[in-house]
Amino acid sequence: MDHVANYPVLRKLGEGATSEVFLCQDPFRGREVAVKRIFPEALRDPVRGRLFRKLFFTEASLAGKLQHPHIAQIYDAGIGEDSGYIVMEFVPGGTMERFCVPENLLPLEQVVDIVFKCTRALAYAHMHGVAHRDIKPGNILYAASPTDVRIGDFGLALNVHAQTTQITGVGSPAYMSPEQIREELVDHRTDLYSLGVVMYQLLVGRLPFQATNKFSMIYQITQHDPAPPSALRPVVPASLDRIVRRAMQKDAAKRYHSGDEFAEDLIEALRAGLGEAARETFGDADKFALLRSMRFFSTFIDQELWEVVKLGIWERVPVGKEVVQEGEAGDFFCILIEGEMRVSKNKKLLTVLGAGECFGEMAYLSLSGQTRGATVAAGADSRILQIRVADLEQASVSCRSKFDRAFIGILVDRLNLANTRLTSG
Amino acid sequence: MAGRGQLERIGKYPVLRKLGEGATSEVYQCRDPFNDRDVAVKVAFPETFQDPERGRLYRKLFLTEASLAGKLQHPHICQIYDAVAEESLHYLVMEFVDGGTLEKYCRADSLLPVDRAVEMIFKCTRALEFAHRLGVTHRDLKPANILHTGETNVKITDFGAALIASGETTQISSIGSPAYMSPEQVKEQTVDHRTDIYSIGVVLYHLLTGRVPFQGANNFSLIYQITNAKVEPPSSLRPELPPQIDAIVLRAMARERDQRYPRWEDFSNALAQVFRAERAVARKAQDFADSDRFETLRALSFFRDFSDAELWEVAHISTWRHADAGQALMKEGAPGADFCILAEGEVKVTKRGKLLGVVHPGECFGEMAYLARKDNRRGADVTVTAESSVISVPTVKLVQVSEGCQHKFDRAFMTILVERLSAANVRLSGV
Repeated sequence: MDHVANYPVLRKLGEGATSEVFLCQDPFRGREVAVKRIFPEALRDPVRGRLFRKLFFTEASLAGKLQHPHIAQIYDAGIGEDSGYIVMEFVPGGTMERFCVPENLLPLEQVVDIVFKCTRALAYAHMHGVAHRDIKPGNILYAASPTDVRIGDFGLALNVHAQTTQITGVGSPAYMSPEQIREELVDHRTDLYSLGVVMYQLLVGRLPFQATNKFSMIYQITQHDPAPPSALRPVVPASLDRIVRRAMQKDAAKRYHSGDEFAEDLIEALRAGLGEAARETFGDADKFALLRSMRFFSTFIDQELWEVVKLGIWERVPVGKEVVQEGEAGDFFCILIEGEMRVSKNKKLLTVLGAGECFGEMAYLSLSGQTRGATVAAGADSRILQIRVADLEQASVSCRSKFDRAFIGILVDRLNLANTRLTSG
Repeated sequence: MAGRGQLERIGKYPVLRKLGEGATSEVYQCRDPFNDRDVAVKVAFPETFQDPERGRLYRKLFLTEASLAGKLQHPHICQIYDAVAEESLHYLVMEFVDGGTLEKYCRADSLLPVDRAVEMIFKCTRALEFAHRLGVTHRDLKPANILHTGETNVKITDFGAALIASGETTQISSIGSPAYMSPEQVKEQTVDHRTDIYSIGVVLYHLLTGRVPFQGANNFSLIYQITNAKVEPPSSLRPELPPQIDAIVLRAMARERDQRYPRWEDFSNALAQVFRAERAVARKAQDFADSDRFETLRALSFFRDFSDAELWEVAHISTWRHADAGQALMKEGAPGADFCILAEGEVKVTKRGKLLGVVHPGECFGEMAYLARKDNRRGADVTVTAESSVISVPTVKLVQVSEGCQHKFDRAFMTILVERLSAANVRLSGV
């Protein structure tokens, strides 16, 4: 096959029962894309074929509206009498399947990071009224590194029987929620169950339920409680056992109500420590949760906040160390994450900053680049987020706008303060 | 030839109806179900694509051109969404524009008022300058390739279509004719943006007089005249035309390239100057033409970093008014639903009779009600001190503009706030 629709094929990525996936070139936009081709037989099916065609565009356009850093974007879709295709973001790394085997497990911290990103992405999709309904390791892709994840294959109708991804997957009920197995009506909570199963597998390298045939699997999913992950990998802390158990509750009402709630528990577990060696670096999930709780970022939506996580430079500053020196040229600004910063001019203390406050922002605001008007030094051991002006210029317009709005708010406050002092003095 | 019967779908696009056809291409109105919108699909049937040897090369060129033209996102350019070059089928997917082309204003019995024709051509020149900056020349400008979308708004179409054919179809059909071709095109010499300048000169001539500058019984005669004959000034056919217009048309249509406007900018500046005197009068009657708005915005320091497309957005969402000295523009305590930028004149800001500041052209006022976001009441009075033109931007409309445009407003406000804050700090720290 040298073309799918009008996309020249570079190579085949995978194949399933009802479709196959190719790496293609998009010559008009000059980028590589993953194109899933639906087999004509699937469309010719007298019963399902018609229904499928009907649902196709509804689902594809709905899923196409999801724009999130951790969801593989759908760019285009087309369907004819006996051909159909979906054009998606190409995610080159592989899938989580690779890390679901005992000999290739990821550190606990990375597992939490991955699951955290998935919970936030699912929360976003659910908010837009889209449930995935087929969350499994084969549908969680990664790009540059294992924690750089994208959930793929949104939109159940598009999956036909959900047996292909960019890499082949297996047709198995292993990740289905009990209500899905019973063929009851499902909602977004089915995704949270399935993600619980994925988390289980990423933690221990095997499925929560082992079965030699489908029927036994079905029986166990609906009847048995799985062994806690720590029974199989003793380093898994009780906090993660609890999270998996809650996510995998058989009764949907007893599970997490939302991806956000799931995410909160993950962060709490991370903060409490996962029992492994003390961390020197901040994981993405940790960074995200920290920023999410800060007033400065209160108007940023998730996608924009993930951009900040990526573009910012995170640093620990020991007490006494100067971050910004009066009179020097500055090309970055900072946000104090925790600790204390002392601002002084001519060795005279002007003010003390606390967590959530920014400093050095004139470098960004003045546009022309500016020499620092004051010195800022750590008054206690602190953590800061440093943002280079040049890096911010690479961010999306909406992300930059949020910074602008935040700074405008700060400037207006300061100006009002200055005017009050001027008129009262 | 393959596919020349009645088409039901083109690629993934179901056909709704045929819009036009020419010697080597057809245009259809189609549905794009994924993006849930109608599109215009131009299907090409050029002989060259069929050629087994050169076909591949042409397909590649076609895609390169189309993909370049696809980068042209401008309010007065018809957007190209996609391009497909398969062995048996080549097509461009474009923005569908409901409405006609400028052809309907090219007849002696349906001419536009002169200022409206100039207004439309002004918009074309700015759009073509934008394309030129991105390295795209059109090479087939003619009334049939300029869509009319209401009032004086236009959209230039068929960019990058030069390769499809000698461009004989658009969303509306037209006759194939060399009437708008430049002498260098006729002679098959290399072309650049000045070829487009020439063709727009011919279009302007046609819109003003209802006739093309050269009439020939056949193509040969036409070609001979393009390369040899002198152009009669448009006023010879429509005596009311002012001499500046004659000069603009003749300069754009100069036979020698280096006699024409060297840059689009020069062409559009000349057009903007034509009604300068009338504009002052029109402004007093609260009539601000689009080109007047655009040219004014472009010169104001507040809008220094705005792109053309963003300036057009501002021109459309803003309300403009002329105000005489003494007129009150804002009252302290009144709710503020807009902020203003002074285009010309002078206004003063006072609080209980005490002068707070004087506003000059390019500066804004009334923006605190917008920026503070909490209390939107005016904090001071604003009164006109010298005859002024005031641009008012309703804050509710600001959310309708593109993110890029909003971002530029924020940057502009940020700069102003920083300046004011440092001025306040200077005053606080002594003196």
